Amino acid sequence: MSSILGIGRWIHFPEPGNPNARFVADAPLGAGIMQIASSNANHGETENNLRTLWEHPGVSDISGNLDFSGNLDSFPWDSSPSLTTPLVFFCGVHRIRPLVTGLSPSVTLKIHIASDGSSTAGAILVGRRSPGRPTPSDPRDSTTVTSGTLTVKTLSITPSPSDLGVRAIRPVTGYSTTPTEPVEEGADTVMAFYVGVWNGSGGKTQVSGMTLYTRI
Amino acid sequence: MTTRTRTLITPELRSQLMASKRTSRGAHAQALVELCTDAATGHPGQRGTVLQNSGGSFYSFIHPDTTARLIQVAFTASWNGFWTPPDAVTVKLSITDTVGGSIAYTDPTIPAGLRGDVTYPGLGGGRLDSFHRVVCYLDKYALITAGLSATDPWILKFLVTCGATVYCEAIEVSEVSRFVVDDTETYGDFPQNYPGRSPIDTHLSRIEPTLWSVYYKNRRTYHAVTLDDAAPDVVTSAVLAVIPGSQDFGGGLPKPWIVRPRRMLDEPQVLWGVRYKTTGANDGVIELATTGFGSPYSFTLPSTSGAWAVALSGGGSMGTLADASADTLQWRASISGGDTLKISSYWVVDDPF
Repeated sequence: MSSILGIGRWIHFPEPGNPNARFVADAPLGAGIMQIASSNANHGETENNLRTLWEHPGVSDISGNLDFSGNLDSFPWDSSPSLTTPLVFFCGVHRIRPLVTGLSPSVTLKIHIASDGSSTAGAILVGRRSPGRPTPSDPRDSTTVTSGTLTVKTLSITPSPSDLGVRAIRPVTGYSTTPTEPVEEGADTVMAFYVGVWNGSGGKTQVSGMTLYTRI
Repeated sequence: MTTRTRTLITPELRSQLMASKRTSRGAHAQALVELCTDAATGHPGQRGTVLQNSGGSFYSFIHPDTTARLIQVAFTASWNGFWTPPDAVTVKLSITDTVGGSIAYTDPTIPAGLRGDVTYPGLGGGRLDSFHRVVCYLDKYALITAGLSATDPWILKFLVTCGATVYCEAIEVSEVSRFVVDDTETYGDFPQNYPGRSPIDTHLSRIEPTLWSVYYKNRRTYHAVTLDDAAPDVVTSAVLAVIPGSQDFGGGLPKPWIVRPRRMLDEPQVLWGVRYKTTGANDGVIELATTGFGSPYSFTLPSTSGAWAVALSGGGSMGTLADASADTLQWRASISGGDTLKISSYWVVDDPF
C-alpha cells in the first residue's frame, strides 16, 4: 500500500465499550488517532477486497486439440465436455471492485499443468463482463508447457473499468405470493471467468489444483 | 432506527490529511466514515462452489457471523451434448447449522429456484450462450429468525437432479455487499452526520466499532471443495497419508492449493474442517498443512459408523496461514482399525481473533 494511504498494517483500537476506547464522547481527539483510523480503513479496504473466487481439483488425460490452426482467438469454447475436446471450466460470476488506489485487483489463476512429455499442454484464462462465449477482445492470459511434470503456472488478468459488467441486485428473498419489500438492493461490478485447457499435439494434458483469486 | 441506502464507493483518503497541525475538515470525517463502512460491509469474502455435475448431494459451508446480510446462490443449467427437452435441472437447498438448527427446502425462507423447481437450459447458438443461470438470494437475518444460529457455521445442502442431456454446470455461493447503513447495527455510519462547519459530535464514536467489524466480521473462504456424497474421497491408510481423489497430486504428494492470506495482523487464524463418515467404529484423523506457525495441524474425526458428520477445528487445533502474499494448503488423513474414511467436503475460512 502507498505510504500516503497508510502504513500497510492493521493497528487494533480498544474494543467497543472498553474504558480506553479512543472515540469517546467528550474525550480529546488527536491527529494520531485519526491517522491510525484512516490507515486501518485503507488497509482493511484493501485486504477485504482480496479473496479466493474458484477452485478445481483438476482433470487428467485431456487430449482435445486447439481447432482453427491453433489460434487462441478461436478457442473452441462451445466444445461439449469430453476428454477428447479442449476442456472448458465456467468459474462463475464474481464481484470485482476497485482497490483504494482506484485500480482493479489482479485476477490470478494458479494452475498446475503438465503434458505427457511429448506434446504441448496449454491453458487460457478469460474474463467477460457477463456470462457467454468469450471473444478475442475479452481480456485473457494463457500459458503452454511441454514438461511431463506438473508445474505451477500463473495466469493473470487486471481488468480495466470497461472490462467490468454491472450487476443489479434486486433480491427477492423467501417464497410468498405476497410481494415483500426487498431488504436492500443496489449494484456492483462483476466479471465472468472461464478457463480452457487443451493439448496441442496429439498428447494428453493434466491439470491439478487450480485456484482463481484476486490479489494486488 | 434509521436506515439509508448506500452506493458502493471507495473514497480515496490519505492518512497525511490527518497529520497534526493540519486543519481538520468535515470532508475528512465524511470520507473516513464512508471508507470504514465500505471496508466493513462492501467486500464480504465467503464463497462456495459446486462444480459441474450430473446430479447428486453436495454440501457447502458458510459462517453467519459477518456483516453480510444477503447470500447469493446461483446455479447454471447447461447442455450435456445435444439437449433433449424436457430434460432439466432441479436444485433443492436445505440448510443446517452445527448446533442443531435446520431449514428444509420447503421453508418460506428458501426462494423460488432452490425448492426443486424445474430449470431448463437455454437455446443459444452454442453451448456457452445457452447457459441458463438462475440467481437467488437468501436473507441471513430471516434464516436466523427461522432458527439457524447467528454465530455457528451453516452447512448448505444442495440436492441436484439432472436429466440425461443437461448438466448442472455450477452452483455458486457468495456473500453480497451491503447496500444500506442501519444505525441499529454495530457498524457503519452515515456520511450525512459529518457536514462541513458542524461540530464534531458523538457520531464519530461509530468509527471504532465499524473498524472492529472490518477486522472481526469479515471472513475470507480460502478453500472450499465440495464432492458428491456418492463419490467422496476414500481413505484407508492407517497413518497420515495423501487423501486419494480430489487431494491427490500424484507422486505421493498432497495437492497444493495456493491461497492469498488475509494479512491484517500477523498470521491469519483459520477455521477448518471436513464433512465425513467412517464405515465402522474407529476414529480417523484429518490434517491440514500450511506454512503458518505450528503447522501441520490435526484433530480426531470421531467414528460415525456410516453416518455423515461435520467436524471443524477448535481449541488447540486451530491453524494459521503464513503472513505472506501467498500460502499453500495441503490435506492428509488416516483411519484406524482397517476402517474406511470418506470425505465429501473440505473447508478453510478466516477465523479472526
